[in-house]
Amino acid sequence: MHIQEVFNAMYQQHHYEYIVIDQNLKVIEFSDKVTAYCDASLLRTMDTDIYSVVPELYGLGQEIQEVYEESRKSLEIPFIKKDDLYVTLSVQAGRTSSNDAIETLIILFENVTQEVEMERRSVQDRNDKELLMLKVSKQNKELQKYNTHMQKLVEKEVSRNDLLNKEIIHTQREVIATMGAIGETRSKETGDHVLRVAEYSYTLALKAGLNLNDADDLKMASPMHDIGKVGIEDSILNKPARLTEDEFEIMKRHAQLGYEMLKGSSQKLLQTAAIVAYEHHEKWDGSGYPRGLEGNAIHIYGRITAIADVFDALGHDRVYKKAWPLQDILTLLEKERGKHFDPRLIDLFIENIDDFLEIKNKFNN
Amino acid sequence: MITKKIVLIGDFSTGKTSLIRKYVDNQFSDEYLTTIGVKISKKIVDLNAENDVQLLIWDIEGHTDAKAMNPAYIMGANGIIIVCDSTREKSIDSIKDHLQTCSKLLKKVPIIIALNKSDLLNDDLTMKELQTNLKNLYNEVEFIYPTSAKDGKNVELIFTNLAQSML
Repeated sequence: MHIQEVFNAMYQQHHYEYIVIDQNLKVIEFSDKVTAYCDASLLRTMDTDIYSVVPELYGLGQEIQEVYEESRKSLEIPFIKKDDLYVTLSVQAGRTSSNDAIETLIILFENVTQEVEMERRSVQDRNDKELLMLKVSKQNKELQKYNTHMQKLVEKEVSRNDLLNKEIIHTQREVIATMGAIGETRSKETGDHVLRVAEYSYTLALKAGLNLNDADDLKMASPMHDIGKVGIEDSILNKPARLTEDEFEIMKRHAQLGYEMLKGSSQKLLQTAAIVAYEHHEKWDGSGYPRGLEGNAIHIYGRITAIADVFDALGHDRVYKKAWPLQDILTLLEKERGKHFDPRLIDLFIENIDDFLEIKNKFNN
Repeated sequence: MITKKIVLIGDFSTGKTSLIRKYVDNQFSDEYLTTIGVKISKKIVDLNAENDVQLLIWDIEGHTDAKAMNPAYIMGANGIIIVCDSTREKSIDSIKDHLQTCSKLLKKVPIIIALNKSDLLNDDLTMKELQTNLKNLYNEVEFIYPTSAKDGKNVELIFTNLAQSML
């Protein structure tokens, strides 16, 4: 039997194709169907160099030599794509001489297309998953960066708004103080009077349970309680004698006028000032003006300012009267408890009279 | 004609197949199809009248954490192109491992690094910084180029420069 037939019988049974090469790496034999993996025309040429037929072996001369010399058992290159097929190529020892030296090498071609296709699916799946995870992680990082940036922008805006709000409040206070000063110029009261009224109102508001913000608003707004007097004619406002009934009716308009001047603002501070101007002459029993409100229908800002205003006016000299002694003032306050004044606020005021006297002393002249 | 074997190595999905496809067939596809095993392409580089070089370009399966490169593919190479995805840090970090593999299996052969997918990197400065850093890290590397199989940037250049270096 010819050697080729022996190889054919042996390898084809295991679905291998082969090429046999000599020690000079020239093709000497090959299986019929090996042409599926290499150039048939080159194979059939005499003295064909194995690198021309199987370029995959190019550069591997040393490794092939090692197989010849038996220092390497075999040389295997797996999963080589050949058009639509995949082959695993293996260089192994072939025929040996009488003294057991290797005379030929066999290059085996094993069709592994099915195996590769199975592996492709799992590798593709694994790689796709990893790429997806990388993408998600990258997007998360981008999102985090964006969030941090947004947070910084928001913080910057909030801080800018805080600053603006502070500026607005500051401006409002300045406007109110200026308006209060204008009111003073039209009133017989002194500048110290409105200052003390502000401090009494603040302290009484806190004693009455108002929060710090509201008490502070009242303190800022109460100096404007008589702002409406800017609309009262000088002959009445500065009349040294007692006002006639008609004149008093005109004088009473200052509460309404003050309210009209301030009510248009949407700012809390100016709204507070409007309430104070409007209601500081209302009386608990409903006999006050301009609307004759009764009891709790009078805003607490009005009820507080009413006490503060009367307490201070009675306690100080005026061109038309002397300051009342403290005991007389307290007697009047108690007498007017539940009539002119809110009884609960009067109780609080008298209970804490020392605090108010301290303010009186502190802001006297 | 002189024949030279060059191998493109690198992590999976860095664009090795796309670079070869662009160079050999002038084609590009965005679709990612993993390479299994190896595909060998041939291209003749006309360097000058006397020096035509036939390149046997080995496109091998990318390295993953689950599967390392098969040394049989790299043995006998005359030149190496390490391909990384310039937008994927891990693939750039792997350059060190790829260089170690080359030094184990090959005698001194020219190596080029292709910072591929440069079209996806918006910042030119980042790419220049990356090139400088890698050049400082890996002295043994012949050239480092930003490449893009999509727009063709430096694709021809990496192969012809490697061919020249191999002669």
